[in-house]
Amino acid sequence: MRRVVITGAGVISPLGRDLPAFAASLAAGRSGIGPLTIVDTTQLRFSNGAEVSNYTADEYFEARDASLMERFAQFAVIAAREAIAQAGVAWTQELREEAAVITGSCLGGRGVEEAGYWELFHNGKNRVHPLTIPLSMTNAGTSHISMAFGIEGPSYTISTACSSSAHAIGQAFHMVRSGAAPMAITGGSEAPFFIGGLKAWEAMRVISKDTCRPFSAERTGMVLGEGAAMLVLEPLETALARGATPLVEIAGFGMSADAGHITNPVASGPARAMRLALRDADLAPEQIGYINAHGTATEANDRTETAAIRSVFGTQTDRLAVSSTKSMHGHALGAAGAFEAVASMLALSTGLLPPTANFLTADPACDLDVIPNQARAAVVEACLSNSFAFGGLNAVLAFKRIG
Amino acid sequence: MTMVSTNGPQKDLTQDVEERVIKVIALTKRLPRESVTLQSSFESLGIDSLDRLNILFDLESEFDIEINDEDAKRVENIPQMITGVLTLLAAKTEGVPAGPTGARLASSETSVHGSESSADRSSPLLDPATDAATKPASSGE
Repeated sequence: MRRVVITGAGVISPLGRDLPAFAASLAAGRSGIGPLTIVDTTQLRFSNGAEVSNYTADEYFEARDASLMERFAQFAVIAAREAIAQAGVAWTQELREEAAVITGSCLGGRGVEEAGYWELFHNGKNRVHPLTIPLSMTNAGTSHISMAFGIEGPSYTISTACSSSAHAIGQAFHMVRSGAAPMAITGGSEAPFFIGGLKAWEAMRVISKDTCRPFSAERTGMVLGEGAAMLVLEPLETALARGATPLVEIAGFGMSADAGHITNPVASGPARAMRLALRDADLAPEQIGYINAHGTATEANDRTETAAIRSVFGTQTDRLAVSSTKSMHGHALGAAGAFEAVASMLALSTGLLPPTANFLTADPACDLDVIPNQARAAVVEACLSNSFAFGGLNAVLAFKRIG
Repeated sequence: MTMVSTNGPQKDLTQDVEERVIKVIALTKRLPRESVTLQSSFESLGIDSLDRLNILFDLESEFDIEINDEDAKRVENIPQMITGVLTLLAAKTEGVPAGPTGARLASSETSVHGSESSADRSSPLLDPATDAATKPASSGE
């Protein structure tokens, strides 16, 4: 079994349109949540979201190429470009044929369907745009990364709601660790700001009209976010041999299903995924110094996640730092796990733990050290990143600092 | 609050709303109508958070009102649900937002004395065939 490291990371997010900007915002505790501008919110009961601000496709793509990609797929390619550039990948024909592309997305390009279906249902039109399928399919992110870089190895997309990209990164980790692929491009992308989808979230009554305040007594729900984050994974030995800089090690991955309720979380499933990630990484609870929480700021998640963490870490819990960076980048659904993997990587590699922004007062049901509002300097050996999806599907990644 | 069984033509608004709220709960949760009473707790009827969302959705259709999230969270039993609906209906009649929480209202074209069929017609969630397609809901994610 190979040790697996991240050698490149790329981000386009509400916290900035590249990795340095994303890192700077996390370090400053700066939230990217604000009034939505790319959709008309007059029909909605909420008006805030975490957008990639001032994004225009023509800054990144030729018009013809952009027209073949829905916003979420554009984000995927933009993040992959940065990750691959940072990793300094030296493509050979063999590497192109064997490298994997595994991405996560919850909604894919579903936003593009709306305009066409509106015409169909309301305006007597009898056809929709011929690219509706290729633009909207959830695997378009993977496909466009594969095409952009000529990567011909195992390539697919995982869609497990809010765990999508954590599951994708975990699968990529497994493939590189086992030797099934010499390298993997992995992460997630999402573009959930279209009116039908937003109305569906509104109907679930989990969206805050305010901002995202994870673990805070004043929390009123989640705030949606958009963007993409991609990673380059490869074996430690290969990375060192070619002179690449390993940024962080992915040490383990744990998965579980609650097998309970389609939307109500329980503590046992998430706790089992955390335990499995620790076991897979051969890490003891006392070696974990930080957890990037799922931390959606819904009433149920934050309480249940706290209970899950306490059940796994027991007396160690009180020396753990736990934060939810969703307070800054919002809940980007299928990209959330990828944003948070990058945040975890940065926490270990920079020695600065990202805060839980927008925190007001502690909730006794969430009695964790949530790094309120200000990043904290701390050298941490290892950390976990939690992702828990509707449908009870849990994915937890374990990271270890290099050196 | 108790439900008085009078079937006269002068059935008052409160009684009408009580009956329709109970009807919506029974239809949405697919329970025999007689098993739902004003005294039933949500727990005893097996109503979980997803059922609550469906019931709120169907109440909005039945009464042509809009129930905001904050008000909805405070509802702990059926009498409170009825009081909430009455408050929103009163606000609709007066054309002002209901209460300090500023519940917003939809258009006011539906009669307060809507018929049995209004819930059936306006609520796809009451059709068992669409049940599986119900949007995932509640509070986990």
